[in-house]
Amino acid sequence: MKKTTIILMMLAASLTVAAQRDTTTFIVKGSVSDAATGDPMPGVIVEAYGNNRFSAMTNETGKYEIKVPSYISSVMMRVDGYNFQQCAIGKNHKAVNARMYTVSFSSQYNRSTVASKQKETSQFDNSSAESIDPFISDRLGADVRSVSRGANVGLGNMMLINGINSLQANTQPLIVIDGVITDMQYSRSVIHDGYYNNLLANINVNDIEKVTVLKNGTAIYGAKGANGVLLIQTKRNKSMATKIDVTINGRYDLMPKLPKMMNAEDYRLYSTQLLASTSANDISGLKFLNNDPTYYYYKQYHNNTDWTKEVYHNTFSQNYGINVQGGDDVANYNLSVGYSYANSTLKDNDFSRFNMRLNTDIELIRNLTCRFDASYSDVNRDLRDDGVSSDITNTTVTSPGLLGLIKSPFLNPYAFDVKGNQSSYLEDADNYLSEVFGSDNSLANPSSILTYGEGKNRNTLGNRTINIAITPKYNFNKHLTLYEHFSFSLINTNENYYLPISGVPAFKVNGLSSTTYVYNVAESLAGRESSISSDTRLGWENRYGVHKIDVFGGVRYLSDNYKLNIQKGYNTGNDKTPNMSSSLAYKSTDGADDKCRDITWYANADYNYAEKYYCTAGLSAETSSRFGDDADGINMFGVVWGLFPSIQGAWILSNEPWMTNIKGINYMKLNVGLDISGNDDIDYTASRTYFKANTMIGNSVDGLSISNIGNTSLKWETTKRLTAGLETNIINNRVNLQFNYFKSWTNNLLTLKQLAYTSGLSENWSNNGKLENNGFDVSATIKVLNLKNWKWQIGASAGHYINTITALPDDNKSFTTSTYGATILTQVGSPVGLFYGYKTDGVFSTTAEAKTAALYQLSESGKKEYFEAGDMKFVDLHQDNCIDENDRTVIGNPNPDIYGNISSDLTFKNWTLNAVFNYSLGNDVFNYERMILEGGCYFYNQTTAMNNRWTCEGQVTDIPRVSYQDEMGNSRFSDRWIEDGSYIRLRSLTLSYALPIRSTYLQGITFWGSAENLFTITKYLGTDPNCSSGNNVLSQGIDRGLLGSGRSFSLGIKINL
Amino acid sequence: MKKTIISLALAATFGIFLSSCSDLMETDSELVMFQKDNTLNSPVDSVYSVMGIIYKMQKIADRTVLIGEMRGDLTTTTANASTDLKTLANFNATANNKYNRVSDYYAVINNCNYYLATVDTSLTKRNVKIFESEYAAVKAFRAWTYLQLAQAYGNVPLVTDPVLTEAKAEEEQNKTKSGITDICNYFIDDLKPYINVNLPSYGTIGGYNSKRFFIPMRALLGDLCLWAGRYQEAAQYYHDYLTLTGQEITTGTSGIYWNSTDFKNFINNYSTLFNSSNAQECQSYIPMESSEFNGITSDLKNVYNSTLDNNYFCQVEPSTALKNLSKSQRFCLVYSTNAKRDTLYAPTKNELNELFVGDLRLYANWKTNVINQSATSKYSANRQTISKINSDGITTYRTSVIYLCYAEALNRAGYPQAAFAILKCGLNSDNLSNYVDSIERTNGASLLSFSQYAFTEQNTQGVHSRGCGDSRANTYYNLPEPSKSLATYQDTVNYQIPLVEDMIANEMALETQFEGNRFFDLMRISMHRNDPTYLAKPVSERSGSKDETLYNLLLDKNNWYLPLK
Repeated sequence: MKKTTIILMMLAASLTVAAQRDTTTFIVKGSVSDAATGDPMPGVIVEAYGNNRFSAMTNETGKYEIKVPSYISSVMMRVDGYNFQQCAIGKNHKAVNARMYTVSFSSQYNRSTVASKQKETSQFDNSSAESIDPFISDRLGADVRSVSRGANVGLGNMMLINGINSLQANTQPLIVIDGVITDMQYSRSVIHDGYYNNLLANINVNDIEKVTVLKNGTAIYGAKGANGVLLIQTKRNKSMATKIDVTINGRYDLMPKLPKMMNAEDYRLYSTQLLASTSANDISGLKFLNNDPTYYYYKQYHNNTDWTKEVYHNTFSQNYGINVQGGDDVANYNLSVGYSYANSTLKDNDFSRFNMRLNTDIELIRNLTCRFDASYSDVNRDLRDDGVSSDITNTTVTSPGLLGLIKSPFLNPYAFDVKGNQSSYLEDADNYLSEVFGSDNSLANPSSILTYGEGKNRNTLGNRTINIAITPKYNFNKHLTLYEHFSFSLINTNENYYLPISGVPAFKVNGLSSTTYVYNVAESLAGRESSISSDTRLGWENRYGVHKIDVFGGVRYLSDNYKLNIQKGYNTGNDKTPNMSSSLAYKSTDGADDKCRDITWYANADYNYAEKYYCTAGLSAETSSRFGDDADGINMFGVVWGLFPSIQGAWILSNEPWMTNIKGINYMKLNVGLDISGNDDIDYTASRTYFKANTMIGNSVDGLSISNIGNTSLKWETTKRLTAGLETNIINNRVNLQFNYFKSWTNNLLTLKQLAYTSGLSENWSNNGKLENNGFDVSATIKVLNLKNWKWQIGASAGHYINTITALPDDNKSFTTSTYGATILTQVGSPVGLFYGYKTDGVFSTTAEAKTAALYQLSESGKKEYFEAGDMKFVDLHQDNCIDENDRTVIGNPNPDIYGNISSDLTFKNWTLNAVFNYSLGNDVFNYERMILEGGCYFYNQTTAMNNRWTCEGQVTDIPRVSYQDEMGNSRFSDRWIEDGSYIRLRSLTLSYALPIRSTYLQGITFWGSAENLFTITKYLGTDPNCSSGNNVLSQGIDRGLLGSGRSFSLGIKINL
Repeated sequence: MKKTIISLALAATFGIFLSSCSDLMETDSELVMFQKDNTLNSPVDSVYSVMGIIYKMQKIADRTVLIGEMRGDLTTTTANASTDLKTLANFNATANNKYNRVSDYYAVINNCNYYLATVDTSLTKRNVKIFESEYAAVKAFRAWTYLQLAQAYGNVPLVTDPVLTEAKAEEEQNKTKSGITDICNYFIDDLKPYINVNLPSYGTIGGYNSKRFFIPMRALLGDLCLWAGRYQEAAQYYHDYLTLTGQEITTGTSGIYWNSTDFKNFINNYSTLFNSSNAQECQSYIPMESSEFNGITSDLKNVYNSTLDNNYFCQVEPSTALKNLSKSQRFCLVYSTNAKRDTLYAPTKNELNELFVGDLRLYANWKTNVINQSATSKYSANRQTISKINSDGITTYRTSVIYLCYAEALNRAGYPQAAFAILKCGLNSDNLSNYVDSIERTNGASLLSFSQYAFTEQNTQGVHSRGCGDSRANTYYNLPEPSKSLATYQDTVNYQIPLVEDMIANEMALETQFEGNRFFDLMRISMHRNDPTYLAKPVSERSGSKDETLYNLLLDKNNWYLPLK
């Protein structure tokens, strides 16, 4: 790679000599007109593309004449209110005519061209979104595959760029905010189940100028770039006029679509049947089975409560922001302040954020400028557990959302007094089965968890981020610059968890004896991450006639300290003392102390010849405290360095004279690239041998023992990626087509490998395994209508990837991972994340049928247990009549065939109607929530589908009999729960109107209204097919019943002063 | 000038980065202790590390019982036993069997190796070597673990240096493996120099007497010598351990016995010997946690007993072979009232309970009952309790076992009379002169000296008496004598040794049933006799009838061991 760089530089030098001799010039003439009306456009600036020393302006007839050097191959037109337009000169340089499109259409040209492939999006107006995530998914859907982490406010999306590039390490993109590599805490834990602390929600969308996806050319991000890079750039002032923007908006969220649950009488029947399948001897004493209206307990057990109403609600959210921009030739500033208060449709999951950002650019002395940026953000939330927990049967259900579905409908949230009148006191945990099971099958009253869990020190999360960046930049001359970018950031997270005693049954805890019950839990978390980053960069650029060279290089230092403390204890005594204290029972602590330091040396060179041939070469060398001392790499200065080169080339075919013969093609760019990038998400201490203390003998002493044998050759995962793309504008620039292809090979996957038994340990982290990704994305944007008042643009994009594991540790040994009720298979030759379970073939309708099939399973002690009538008929793939692990097969793939967006922008005068559709096709979803809601094995209310359960001999149905604790495993992980997760959704429909007003005090007012998630076309039975149970790629496509998105309606106003 | 300053500044900045990269890349952590920081040069470090070794021993504790018991002839698995336990008992455990995790043994060994290689033994305080007793204790842990390992796995890599890298682990795993004799010989030499070092004591930890966490050095050396076939030395070590002045360990007189001539009432002060690890009988043990919440617990109660956790379905029950062996003993009651004194034998049938026949120890250890339970209940109606199971600790050494091993060593060393005396009457100066002839007493002088003050008639009894009444009076329980006198004294001794050894083996079965010794006892004697049938026969007949397949399988010694993986 080094050689290539040297050869390129030599080539560039020789070309320089050649170019200096070429001084001939020629004249380009032409006219510029409005593409809609055909009217000539005066006052348009025309300049030699990429070389603004040669420029001209159109006259009142729209004509221009410009003298340019002979190597110039295209010119560019620009004027306010219109998009940039690049126009190849071609053979006939006397008639280089351009038709300009207004900014109502999306821009097709950039002022400068680069060899690498990037995609960017900006203008995040007219939305009430709390975080940037929905914009990324709505506008870059084919470039960044986004899957929702849940519809609780600001949870954001799991994102994948260029397929899945890791197995057990991070797969989420690198986020670079204003040039600073930011740790998004992708794998950090929080206490509340079903919640993810999305740090992007700390940034106000109004502060973001643009988001760029780097699809290749990521050399300077070295060992961090393999999962793709998202650059987020915040707003800075660009003009001297003072501008004040005020935004106000509100949103009304409707409850999501929820599963239809059984009513009181259906559930009473269900629970009676379930009781019959238990070992309960005598159920006649159970109060809820007495249907005599005069019975003392009749009212208590004869309600028809829709518990979802107790935990979900339609709700209102609001966002306020003010942004002031201004400056002079010494200092420029952009100051913004925002406040959001958003409610989730799940009660008591509120979000509030205060944020402030100041971005300044100061010219200290001549040639020395300094950027000073500071931001502060304070997010506060109410939280409760959400979704189905990973081991629902071992502990009590604490998620109000789930309790709202499974709680018995014949009960009432409020207690009845002795006279049989409903009181205003919340009912305790249910006890309708206590005569048989004690508190073992009792469910909490979700209203109690909401009510008594509310308050400071109970269920809150606070997330505060501070960032300060100073960037002095010195220009030695117009070619040479030096800057230093120093940034410090602090992320503080505090979380409290409190499960009240009132309304919650006594429950068991894993690890305690089976006769020990606890009454409630208090937990607290304090996380603190401080990061220092320094980036010193020397840049040089110059043009030698036809050659343009831009080189920069520097060194980056990152230091990151993350500290986490979690404390947990049981039995606070009463609900008035929710705090952590030393008197709690079964106290435990957990934590992290992760420190990481990186140094990266990098260099990058951009070169272009005649604005036709572009080349970018980059190289970085990175060392990290996480790499092993003996890692395979370059050993210098006592540490190991990984080398990450990348080279990109682009060819603007449309600037070639011979291309102008081809009618209809206005622009065509071909690009290819090769990148080698890394993934340094290595366990912080895995490369070192260390000891860990374990408490022993009733917590009275610590025992220190070897807990890891360091893999001193541990290194980053390496991804080689080949990219190729074609972009073209045709039919008078009316149609923009883009096609990008990539093929990547990742090796040295970070995986757990079995150790020799003499080590005394079972496994450690190693670089073993390989995978490949192969994919493309296409997009088309068409200006369908371009009239004076009517403009209509439609666009569509589609992304696709195929991911294949090609090698695994321990001689390609396949392995399975259990997560949220699912079993995930990892095997060579298959994509990451396959669902691996049993196939079903209906339900045994008759005893004879079951006898004939003679299928059985083995109990733990090896006893044959035969499947009977009413049991699921699992497919005996191994053909030995025994239904066991050998009969499992691949039953689903969470990776989609194709995904992307469709959009439409219709403008009429000052009115704009914008619609965005999201879609994903061909992906499977494991409906874990439905497995609970239709499992038929616990005293949980079930969906109405369960009314079709098998109840009598000969009944033909596809839902098996109910069976307490599911002895025959009828509800085991099988294709019953795998559904087609394909969907297409009208994500948003926005109508905006810019009031045609312009005065000294008021620059403009925009009113807008939007509707989100108006409809979704899907066969998926759950709440939301767009769901992910976390960032881990081994738990993709699992619907654990987190809050789904419902419809919402927003109204807003933006005032420019 | 300006340029010079800037280039100097640049050079300085970059220079800092270049020169100190390796220091800059060094991070620390409060959650783990890196190898370089664990230098073991302060008493606190040392205590934590020793406890860390015990932490790792907790992981293998249950297995030291189950591997030795399940594969013996005294128990069988019930229908409800887990497949892993069944395959373990039937000698077809695979690499995936949860009781087959050889790396857990090496975890103890490796932590010991690290301690031994790292601890600063030269450190002294007021002329006392601070780490000496811990150093010796860790050596004993290591040797004990190797003995367990070699018993379970046969030939294993003998690793004595710390394994701190993958390459080293690989290299050690691939090296030539050592058999149990080599391993014992290695550790006899390794431990000998520390024989007089006192055990460490950390006082009481969590209610436990921490002194008993440590392996008694002499008893362990006795075991190592016995396995290595160094009988004389073994007998000496056991003897010295039991008779160490000031720390004498007597047999005590606990037992279970009939106290009425109608054989309806008995006195049981036998079961209480196993109630807790603090009981007198227990010399050392691995402390276990009371709940998983606190760490590693013993699961033996759920294997042996009916508990709520296993829905009252226990996984193991006494075998027919054990019941037959127990039944075939004769219980001898010395009955005396006022002037009358008589010797009675318990009847061979008892209508109250079939276990009230022969040796009473099985009855003391094993209780069953049936409770009224609906047919659909998930709980078992048949309940079993094996009272030897004590969840707070897994015993590593206990008095009677040491006495029995002492007997085995003495017998093999050529002192069958003294060996038999341990079974019949216990050893003290009176009994020695009554039951052991002068030749044996003279030859084995140093092996057979007992302080007359510490070892008295009041605190001594034969092991057999613990369940079979007063064996001294038992005419069915005698030293085997040839039917006609043999040519030389030595011929008589040679005639007696194997027969006494059989009696010792039987006594070991009766006394240590369920404790995880049986398979290894059979293995050891079988190895010493060079006769695999000694193990194969009883094990294949544990159900009462012979399992030919199992018998043939066990004739091959390689099948005695768990597969290494």
